Amino acid sequence: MSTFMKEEGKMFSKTAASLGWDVDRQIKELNNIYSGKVEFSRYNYSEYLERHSRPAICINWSADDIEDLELPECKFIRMIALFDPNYVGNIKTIRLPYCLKSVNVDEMCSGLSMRMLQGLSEHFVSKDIKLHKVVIRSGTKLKSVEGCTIVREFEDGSIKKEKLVITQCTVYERI
Amino acid sequence: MGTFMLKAGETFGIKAEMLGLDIDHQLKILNDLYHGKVEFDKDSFLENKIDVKRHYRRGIKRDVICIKWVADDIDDLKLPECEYIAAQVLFKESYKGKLRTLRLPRCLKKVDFYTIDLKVKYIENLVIPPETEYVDDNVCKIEKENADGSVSEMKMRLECDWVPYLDD
Repeated sequence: MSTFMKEEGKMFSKTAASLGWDVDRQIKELNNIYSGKVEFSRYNYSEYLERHSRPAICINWSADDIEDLELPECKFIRMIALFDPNYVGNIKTIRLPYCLKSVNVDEMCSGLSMRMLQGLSEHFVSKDIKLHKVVIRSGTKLKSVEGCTIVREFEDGSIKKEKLVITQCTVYERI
Repeated sequence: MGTFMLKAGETFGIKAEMLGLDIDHQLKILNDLYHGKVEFDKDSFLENKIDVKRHYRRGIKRDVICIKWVADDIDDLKLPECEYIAAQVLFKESYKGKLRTLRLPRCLKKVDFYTIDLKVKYIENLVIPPETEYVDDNVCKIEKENADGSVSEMKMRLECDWVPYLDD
Protein backbone atom coordinates (compact mmCIF):
# COMPACT_ATOMS: atom_id res chain seq x y z
CA MET A 1 0.00 0.00 0.00
CA SER A 2 1.43 3.40 -0.98
CA THR A 3 1.99 6.41 1.24
CA PHE A 4 -1.08 8.55 1.87
CA MET A 5 -0.27 12.24 1.66
CA LYS A 6 -2.01 15.47 0.72
CA GLU A 7 -0.40 18.21 -1.36
CA GLU A 8 -2.10 20.81 0.85
CA GLY A 9 -0.43 19.17 3.84
CA LYS A 10 3.02 20.14 2.54
CA MET A 11 2.16 23.85 2.48
CA PHE A 12 -0.01 23.79 5.59
CA SER A 13 2.56 25.20 8.00
CA LYS A 14 3.23 28.28 5.83
CA THR A 15 -0.47 28.90 5.21
CA ALA A 16 -1.28 28.61 8.92
CA ALA A 17 1.57 30.96 9.88
CA SER A 18 0.65 33.59 7.30
CA LEU A 19 -3.00 33.56 8.35
CA GLY A 20 -2.18 33.42 12.07
CA TRP A 21 -4.32 30.39 12.86
CA ASP A 22 -4.34 29.09 16.44
CA VAL A 23 -4.18 25.37 17.26
CA ASP A 24 -7.97 24.83 17.21
CA ARG A 25 -8.31 26.54 13.84
CA GLN A 26 -5.46 24.43 12.48
CA ILE A 27 -7.19 21.23 13.67
CA LYS A 28 -10.41 22.35 11.94
CA GLU A 29 -8.59 23.08 8.68
CA LEU A 30 -6.60 19.83 8.81
CA ASN A 31 -9.78 17.84 9.41
CA ASN A 32 -11.33 19.52 6.35
CA ILE A 33 -8.32 18.71 4.17
CA TYR A 34 -8.06 15.09 5.35
CA SER A 35 -11.83 14.56 5.64
CA GLY A 36 -12.85 10.90 5.39
CA LYS A 37 -9.24 9.73 5.57
CA VAL A 38 -7.63 11.05 8.77
CA GLU A 39 -9.05 12.88 11.77
CA PHE A 40 -6.90 15.00 14.04
CA SER A 41 -7.59 16.15 17.57
CA ARG A 42 -6.03 18.28 20.29
CA TYR A 43 -3.84 16.78 22.97
CA ASN A 44 -2.40 18.79 25.85
CA TYR A 45 0.93 17.61 27.14
CA SER A 46 3.36 18.89 29.75
CA GLU A 47 7.10 19.00 29.38
CA TYR A 48 9.11 17.51 32.21
CA LEU A 49 8.93 19.74 35.33
CA GLU A 50 6.70 22.21 33.51
CA ARG A 51 3.51 23.39 35.16
CA HIS A 52 1.67 24.57 32.09
CA SER A 53 0.50 22.23 29.41
CA ARG A 54 1.22 22.75 25.73
CA PRO A 55 -1.15 21.89 22.90
CA ALA A 56 -0.30 19.30 20.26
CA ILE A 57 -2.20 18.00 17.27
CA CYS A 58 -2.47 14.23 17.21
CA ILE A 59 -4.12 11.56 15.10
CA ASN A 60 -7.51 10.55 16.41
CA TRP A 61 -8.73 8.28 13.63
CA SER A 62 -7.58 7.01 10.25
CA ALA A 63 -9.51 5.14 7.56
CA ASP A 64 -9.00 1.37 7.42
CA ASP A 65 -7.26 1.53 4.04
CA ILE A 66 -4.48 3.82 5.31
CA GLU A 67 -1.43 2.00 6.59
CA ASP A 68 1.25 4.46 5.58
CA LEU A 69 0.72 8.13 6.38
CA GLU A 70 2.82 11.20 5.72
CA LEU A 71 1.98 13.80 8.33
CA PRO A 72 1.29 17.38 7.24
CA GLU A 73 3.84 20.14 7.87
CA CYS A 74 2.44 21.60 11.07
CA LYS A 75 4.24 23.15 14.03
CA PHE A 76 1.83 21.57 16.50
CA ILE A 77 2.77 18.02 15.56
CA ARG A 78 4.94 16.64 18.32
CA MET A 79 6.66 13.32 18.81
CA ILE A 80 5.44 13.18 22.39
CA ALA A 81 1.82 12.99 21.27
CA LEU A 82 1.47 11.44 17.85
CA PHE A 83 -1.65 9.45 18.61
CA ASP A 84 -4.70 10.21 20.68
CA PRO A 85 -5.18 7.65 23.48
CA ASN A 86 -8.49 6.71 21.82
CA TYR A 87 -6.95 6.36 18.36
CA VAL A 88 -8.65 3.92 15.98
CA GLY A 89 -7.04 2.88 12.70
CA ASN A 90 -4.54 0.66 10.92
CA ILE A 91 -1.50 2.91 10.56
CA LYS A 92 1.71 0.91 10.50
CA THR A 93 4.13 3.44 9.04
CA ILE A 94 4.26 7.08 9.96
CA ARG A 95 6.36 9.65 8.12
CA LEU A 96 7.22 12.67 10.20
CA PRO A 97 7.03 16.18 8.76
CA TYR A 98 10.15 18.02 7.57
CA CYS A 99 9.37 20.95 9.87
CA LEU A 100 10.16 18.82 12.93
CA LYS A 101 13.55 20.15 14.06
CA SER A 102 14.62 17.32 16.32
CA VAL A 103 13.34 14.02 17.64
CA ASN A 104 14.25 12.69 21.02
CA VAL A 105 13.98 8.93 21.10
CA ASP A 106 12.81 8.95 24.71
CA GLU A 107 10.12 11.41 23.76
CA MET A 108 9.21 9.32 20.77
CA CYS A 109 8.89 6.35 23.01
CA SER A 110 6.32 8.01 25.20
CA GLY A 111 4.53 9.27 22.11
CA LEU A 112 4.37 5.78 20.73
CA SER A 113 3.34 4.32 24.02
CA MET A 114 -0.16 5.59 23.35
CA ARG A 115 -0.21 3.38 20.32
CA MET A 116 1.52 0.59 22.12
CA LEU A 117 -0.94 0.92 24.94
CA GLN A 118 -3.73 0.12 22.58
CA GLY A 119 -1.86 -2.81 21.14
CA LEU A 120 -0.92 -4.23 24.47
CA SER A 121 -4.26 -3.78 26.17
CA GLU A 122 -5.90 -5.61 23.30
CA HIS A 123 -3.19 -8.21 23.24
CA PHE A 124 -5.23 -10.71 25.21
CA VAL A 125 -8.39 -10.39 23.19
CA SER A 126 -7.23 -9.75 19.66
CA LYS A 127 -4.05 -9.51 17.66
CA ASP A 128 -1.39 -7.06 18.72
CA ILE A 129 -1.56 -3.92 16.60
CA LYS A 130 1.44 -1.70 16.61
CA LEU A 131 3.39 0.84 14.65
CA HIS A 132 6.01 -0.87 12.49
CA LYS A 133 7.99 2.03 11.16
CA VAL A 134 8.73 5.67 11.87
CA VAL A 135 10.42 7.64 9.09
CA ILE A 136 12.50 10.61 10.22
CA ARG A 137 13.51 13.24 7.65
CA SER A 138 17.10 14.13 6.84
CA GLY A 139 16.72 17.64 8.26
CA THR A 140 15.48 16.34 11.60
CA LYS A 141 18.11 15.86 14.27
CA LEU A 142 17.85 12.52 16.01
CA LYS A 143 18.81 12.51 19.65
CA SER A 144 19.25 9.02 20.90
CA VAL A 145 21.24 6.84 23.19
CA GLU A 146 23.90 5.11 21.17
CA GLY A 147 23.13 1.44 21.47
CA CYS A 148 25.07 -1.69 20.60
CA THR A 149 24.90 -3.51 17.29
CA ILE A 150 23.26 -6.90 17.21
CA VAL A 151 25.33 -9.14 14.95
CA ARG A 152 23.36 -12.17 13.84
CA GLU A 153 25.44 -15.05 12.46
CA PHE A 154 23.85 -17.54 10.05
CA GLU A 155 24.62 -21.17 9.18
CA ASP A 156 25.98 -20.21 5.74
CA GLY A 157 28.53 -17.90 7.34
CA SER A 158 26.74 -14.70 6.46
CA ILE A 159 26.03 -12.04 9.07
CA LYS A 160 23.34 -9.44 9.53
CA LYS A 161 23.86 -6.32 11.61
CA GLU A 162 21.30 -4.02 13.11
CA LYS A 163 21.59 -1.09 15.43
CA LEU A 164 19.88 -1.31 18.76
CA VAL A 165 18.41 1.79 20.29
CA ILE A 166 17.50 1.15 23.85
CA THR A 167 14.92 3.26 25.50
CA GLN A 168 12.61 2.74 28.35
CA CYS A 169 9.02 3.73 28.74
CA THR A 170 6.11 2.75 30.83
CA VAL A 171 3.17 1.06 29.20
CA TYR A 172 0.11 1.03 31.36
CA GLU A 173 -2.11 -1.96 31.55
CA ARG A 174 -5.81 -1.26 31.63
CA ILE A 175 -7.46 -3.45 34.24
CA MET B 1 43.26 -7.69 19.51
CA GLY B 2 41.58 -11.07 18.87
CA THR B 3 38.65 -12.74 20.55
CA PHE B 4 39.43 -13.88 24.07
CA MET B 5 38.13 -17.39 24.66
CA LEU B 6 39.19 -20.40 26.68
CA LYS B 7 39.13 -23.97 25.34
CA ALA B 8 37.88 -25.10 28.74
CA GLY B 9 34.96 -22.70 28.37
CA GLU B 10 33.79 -24.43 25.20
CA THR B 11 33.16 -27.71 27.01
CA PHE B 12 32.22 -26.22 30.36
CA GLY B 13 28.47 -26.75 29.94
CA ILE B 14 28.80 -30.49 29.26
CA LYS B 15 31.18 -31.05 32.17
CA ALA B 16 29.03 -29.09 34.60
CA GLU B 17 25.96 -31.08 33.58
CA MET B 18 27.77 -34.40 33.89
CA LEU B 19 28.97 -33.52 37.38
CA GLY B 20 25.61 -32.02 38.38
CA LEU B 21 27.18 -28.75 39.53
CA ASP B 22 24.89 -26.10 41.00
CA ILE B 23 25.15 -22.40 40.08
CA ASP B 24 27.50 -21.47 42.94
CA HIS B 25 29.87 -24.28 42.09
CA GLN B 26 29.82 -23.37 38.39
CA LEU B 27 30.53 -19.74 39.27
CA LYS B 28 33.52 -20.72 41.40
CA ILE B 29 35.00 -22.92 38.66
CA LEU B 30 34.45 -20.27 35.96
CA ASN B 31 36.21 -17.68 38.10
CA ASP B 32 39.12 -20.10 38.56
CA LEU B 33 39.29 -20.80 34.81
CA TYR B 34 39.16 -17.13 33.79
CA HIS B 35 41.25 -15.91 36.73
CA GLY B 36 42.95 -12.57 36.04
CA LYS B 37 41.04 -12.09 32.80
CA VAL B 38 37.31 -12.18 33.54
CA GLU B 39 35.38 -12.25 36.79
CA PHE B 40 31.84 -13.58 36.87
CA ASP B 41 29.20 -13.03 39.50
CA LYS B 42 25.73 -14.27 40.37
CA ASP B 43 22.63 -12.22 39.69
CA SER B 44 18.94 -12.86 39.15
CA PHE B 45 15.99 -11.55 37.17
CA LEU B 46 12.26 -12.07 37.09
CA GLU B 47 11.11 -14.07 34.13
CA ASN B 48 7.59 -13.19 33.10
CA LYS B 49 5.10 -15.94 32.69
CA ILE B 50 1.79 -14.80 31.26
CA ASP B 51 -1.36 -16.82 31.65
CA VAL B 52 -3.34 -15.59 28.64
CA LYS B 53 -6.62 -17.22 29.69
CA ARG B 54 -6.65 -15.69 33.14
CA HIS B 55 -5.06 -12.36 32.14
CA TYR B 56 -2.55 -13.09 34.82
CA ARG B 57 1.14 -12.37 34.93
CA ARG B 58 3.70 -13.56 37.43
CA GLY B 59 7.44 -13.29 37.71
CA ILE B 60 9.61 -16.31 38.37
CA LYS B 61 13.04 -15.60 39.85
CA ARG B 62 15.86 -17.02 37.79
CA ASP B 63 19.48 -17.09 38.94
CA VAL B 64 22.13 -16.36 36.34
CA ILE B 65 25.88 -15.95 35.96
CA CYS B 66 26.98 -12.58 34.56
CA ILE B 67 30.15 -10.59 33.91
CA LYS B 68 31.44 -8.48 36.78
CA TRP B 69 34.88 -7.45 35.61
CA VAL B 70 37.01 -7.83 32.50
CA ALA B 71 40.75 -7.10 32.22
CA ASP B 72 41.61 -3.92 30.32
CA ASP B 73 43.38 -5.81 27.50
CA ILE B 74 40.22 -7.74 26.57
CA ASP B 75 37.83 -5.99 24.22
CA ASP B 76 36.31 -9.05 22.53
CA LEU B 77 35.06 -11.91 24.70
CA LYS B 78 33.45 -15.23 23.88
CA LEU B 79 31.34 -16.34 26.80
CA PRO B 80 31.72 -19.93 28.05
CA GLU B 81 29.06 -22.54 27.32
CA CYS B 82 27.09 -22.41 30.55
CA GLU B 83 23.42 -23.08 31.23
CA TYR B 84 23.26 -20.15 33.66
CA ILE B 85 24.19 -17.49 31.12
CA ALA B 86 21.12 -15.58 29.95
CA ALA B 87 20.70 -12.60 27.59
CA GLN B 88 18.43 -10.92 30.16
CA VAL B 89 21.36 -10.25 32.54
CA LEU B 90 24.75 -10.26 30.87
CA PHE B 91 26.48 -7.65 33.02
CA LYS B 92 26.47 -6.94 36.72
CA GLU B 93 25.35 -3.42 37.74
CA SER B 94 28.87 -2.73 38.98
CA TYR B 95 30.50 -4.05 35.77
CA LYS B 96 33.94 -2.67 34.96
CA GLY B 97 35.79 -3.32 31.74
CA LYS B 98 36.52 -2.16 28.22
CA LEU B 99 34.59 -4.81 26.31
CA ARG B 100 33.46 -3.80 22.85
CA THR B 101 32.28 -7.15 21.51
CA LEU B 102 30.52 -9.90 23.42
CA ARG B 103 29.92 -13.29 21.80
CA LEU B 104 27.08 -15.30 23.27
CA PRO B 105 27.48 -19.06 23.87
CA ARG B 106 25.96 -21.58 21.44
CA CYS B 107 24.06 -23.29 24.26
CA LEU B 108 21.81 -20.22 24.55
CA LYS B 109 18.56 -21.43 22.98
CA LYS B 110 16.83 -18.11 22.46
CA VAL B 111 17.55 -14.39 22.55
CA ASP B 112 14.60 -12.05 22.76
CA PHE B 113 15.27 -8.49 21.61
CA TYR B 114 12.54 -7.41 23.97
CA THR B 115 14.33 -8.62 27.08
CA ILE B 116 18.04 -8.22 26.28
CA ASP B 117 20.04 -6.73 29.15
CA LEU B 118 19.89 -2.93 28.87
CA LYS B 119 23.53 -2.74 29.85
CA VAL B 120 24.57 -3.98 26.38
CA LYS B 121 24.37 -0.35 25.33
CA TYR B 122 27.85 -0.01 26.85
CA ILE B 123 29.33 -2.36 24.25
CA GLU B 124 29.40 -2.06 20.48
CA ASN B 125 28.59 -5.53 19.23
CA LEU B 126 26.57 -8.40 20.59
CA VAL B 127 27.20 -11.50 18.49
CA ILE B 128 24.45 -14.10 18.39
CA PRO B 129 25.52 -17.57 17.17
CA PRO B 130 23.58 -19.24 14.32
CA GLU B 131 22.14 -21.97 16.56
CA THR B 132 20.40 -19.41 18.76
CA GLU B 133 16.85 -18.38 17.90
CA TYR B 134 16.53 -14.62 17.71
CA VAL B 135 13.15 -13.09 18.41
CA ASP B 136 12.60 -9.43 17.64
CA ASP B 137 8.87 -8.92 18.01
CA ASN B 138 7.47 -5.90 19.83
CA VAL B 139 9.95 -3.49 18.33
CA CYS B 140 9.39 -0.49 16.15
CA LYS B 141 11.72 0.25 13.24
CA ILE B 142 13.06 3.77 12.91
CA GLU B 143 14.18 4.88 9.46
CA LYS B 144 16.34 7.95 9.28
CA GLU B 145 16.61 9.53 5.85
CA ASN B 146 20.13 10.85 5.36
CA ALA B 147 21.05 13.97 3.42
CA ASP B 148 22.61 11.85 0.63
CA GLY B 149 19.33 9.99 0.13
CA SER B 150 20.42 6.83 1.91
CA VAL B 151 18.41 5.41 4.78
CA SER B 152 19.78 4.21 8.08
CA GLU B 153 17.72 1.83 10.14
CA MET B 154 17.43 1.40 13.85
CA LYS B 155 15.21 -0.54 16.10
CA MET B 156 13.58 0.79 19.18
CA ARG B 157 12.78 -1.44 22.04
CA LEU B 158 10.01 -0.64 24.44
CA GLU B 159 10.70 -1.71 27.95
CA CYS B 160 7.33 -2.38 29.43
CA ASP B 161 6.59 -1.86 33.04
CA TRP B 162 3.19 -3.28 33.74
CA VAL B 163 1.39 -1.13 36.25
CA PRO B 164 -2.33 -0.55 36.74
CA TYR B 165 -3.83 1.96 34.34
CA LEU B 166 -5.76 4.66 36.12
CA ASP B 167 -8.83 6.00 34.40
CA ASP B 168 -9.59 9.70 34.89
